[in-house]
Amino acid sequence: MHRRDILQWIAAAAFAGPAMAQDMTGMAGHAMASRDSVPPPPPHTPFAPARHAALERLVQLVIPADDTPGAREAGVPAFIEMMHQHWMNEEERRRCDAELDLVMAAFASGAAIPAALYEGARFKAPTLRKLTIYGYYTSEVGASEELTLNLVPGAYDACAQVGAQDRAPSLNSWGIALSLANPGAL
Amino acid sequence: MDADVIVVGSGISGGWAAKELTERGFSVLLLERGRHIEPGTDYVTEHLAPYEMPYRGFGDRQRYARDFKVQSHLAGLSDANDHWFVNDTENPYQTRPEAEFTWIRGYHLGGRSITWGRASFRLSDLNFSEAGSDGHGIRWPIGYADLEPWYSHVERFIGVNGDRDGIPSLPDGEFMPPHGMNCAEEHVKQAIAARFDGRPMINERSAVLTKAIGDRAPCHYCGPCIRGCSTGSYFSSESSTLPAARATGRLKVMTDVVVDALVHDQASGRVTGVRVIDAKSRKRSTLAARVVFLNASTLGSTQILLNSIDAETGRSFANRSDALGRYLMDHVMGPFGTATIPGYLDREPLGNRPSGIYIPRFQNLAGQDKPFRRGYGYQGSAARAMWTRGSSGEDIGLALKQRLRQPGPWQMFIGAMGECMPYADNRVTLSDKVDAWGRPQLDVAFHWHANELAMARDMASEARAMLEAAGGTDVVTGDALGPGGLAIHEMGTARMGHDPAEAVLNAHNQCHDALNVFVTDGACMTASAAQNPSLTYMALTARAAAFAADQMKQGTL
Repeated sequence: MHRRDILQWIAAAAFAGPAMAQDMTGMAGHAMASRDSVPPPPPHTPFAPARHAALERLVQLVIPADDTPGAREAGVPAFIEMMHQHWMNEEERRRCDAELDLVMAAFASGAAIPAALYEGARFKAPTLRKLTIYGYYTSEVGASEELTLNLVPGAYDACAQVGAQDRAPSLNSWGIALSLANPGAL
Repeated sequence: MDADVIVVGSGISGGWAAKELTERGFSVLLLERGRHIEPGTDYVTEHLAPYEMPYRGFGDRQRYARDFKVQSHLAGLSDANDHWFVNDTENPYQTRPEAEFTWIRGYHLGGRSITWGRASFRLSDLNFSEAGSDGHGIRWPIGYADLEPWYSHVERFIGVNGDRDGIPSLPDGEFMPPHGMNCAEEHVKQAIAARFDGRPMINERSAVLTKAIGDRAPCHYCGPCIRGCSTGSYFSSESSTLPAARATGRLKVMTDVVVDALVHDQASGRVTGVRVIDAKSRKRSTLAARVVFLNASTLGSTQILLNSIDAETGRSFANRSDALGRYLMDHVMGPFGTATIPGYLDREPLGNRPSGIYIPRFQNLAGQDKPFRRGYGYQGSAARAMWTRGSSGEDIGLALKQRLRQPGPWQMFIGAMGECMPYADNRVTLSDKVDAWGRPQLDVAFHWHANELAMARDMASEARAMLEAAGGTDVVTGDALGPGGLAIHEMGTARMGHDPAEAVLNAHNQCHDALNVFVTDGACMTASAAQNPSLTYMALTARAAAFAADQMKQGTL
């Protein structure tokens, strides 16, 4: 649901009436913020081409395309590079770099993938795996195509029936899982 | 005179002071140290998807490490809400590792009424009678009967949803229908009731509308209230009290005005005005009024009083008792329990309910049955696990993607909140360092004592017992207490009490040492009880404002 739809929904739900064709926010008396009041992500420098290519391949292995796009199409590599440059602390940055080294070595070894990305049962790049999941399900594709995004549900049903084909919501009551916001460490 | 009454602070209690006083015919000058907020248009992150925010809700962590060292203790601080919290570098105070206090705050019109948790519980006869009767603290100068009509007055205006549960230690109020529990919560509720006598689990009572009040629409269940609500569906100063005060034509609001001190006239024993500093130009001036209401938040009001020094004595005019700045409390919060609740996998909540459940205090209700005094309750909720559960695990590929496509199991969380006792050594004083406006910084020292530590251990073990009784699996509990302040319920540093030798304020929230000064924010609290306190601040404010208005009409103030 996009913001202009939300405006319409609120106006309609709160003050439904024949005047709905008029300016809906004005009618409802509920002004909302403009979409541009929040800055875009900070600009970042992509990884060197070989590392960027390996990252693209890795994220697509973690979350591939099926009937919805995978992590590469969802822009996850750029998200990870932005977080690497602007969000991580030094230790996390080193850990990500080391994991990507291991991944590149596995890709270069000619061994079967994804088996070569495992050491026993352990995935060799857990931080990048986690970042791929964060990046994918908070992207437009992951949040609203792969899962369900309803920014203004408009009603509450405490225990609705859920079918086996119904996709989970991508947000909860805090907008995102509380434990993920401002985490102490990756 | 600049106004009949100057109200310092526009948050939860200041908005109420402005509303009640203007509606009773008096002019009010409302001073706010922070910026102006336009409801709606300044709620810049409301209804944004994660990908519409710069860090997708993970927050600008490098900036937080630089400038939000204290505020980032708040779990959930993120790029969705960090504009509601102060830059700690620009707003310093002193504390120390062995008695650390985290002062979480925001400086803008409406203050923490925009970001509060909305839980709205009354204190009870038990809470008012315990204080001072068991070796902890002093007696309240009022009882539940004094506040009961004011609780009703406040609840009807702000809109509180909940059930009339008939629990003597948690009095019922004027409620709209609750949002309601989901099936996992109902399951836990019934299991607790079957296993434990006298331990009801109830709908949280919350200041969110389920029916319209005027042009405030019912909740639309977007979820993160903390971003602001353009439909005014939860109580904030912006949605509720400030519009009512403005409608009288008797309210004047000045933002970006920092209060330095009150001007006290020793001869008359009254305060004659307020010394203020323009937050931007640093220009100083004095504003005059018959009456001053301090609603600058517990520590803010205390700082102003501590800095209101009589030239002759060299001490604060309001501190004959030596109680000013002492007895700082914050709720015992941190201990928790979580569990997976089996079953109900064909059910899921639709919509994001902005509240949860409450397990009222069940300890020490009729005599002491625990190894600590007073008690605690739990807030909590159950929800289907989200995609975030995928971040642990080793699986990748389509199996992972398909696993996260469905909602996960039900998970129940309960977090405790308990009464904190007033101790003389939990104290704020003025530091010799100054802030950007030349005012002495606060120096805050706080630590938990034995009663709180014993309570914390019990909170965790009772959480485990209840979640296990509910058939919960993977039960995890914690009993750790962080530094004080994280409940964001700091209170008590200008407490009410009959005796001017041991309390700063009287039964009407007037300064014993200057009767035309009222303090009705959290600073006034004699004891903390276990309930979330904001509703009580509002009721105390409305009661004090009505009293002040009567006194002004009679010419005695």
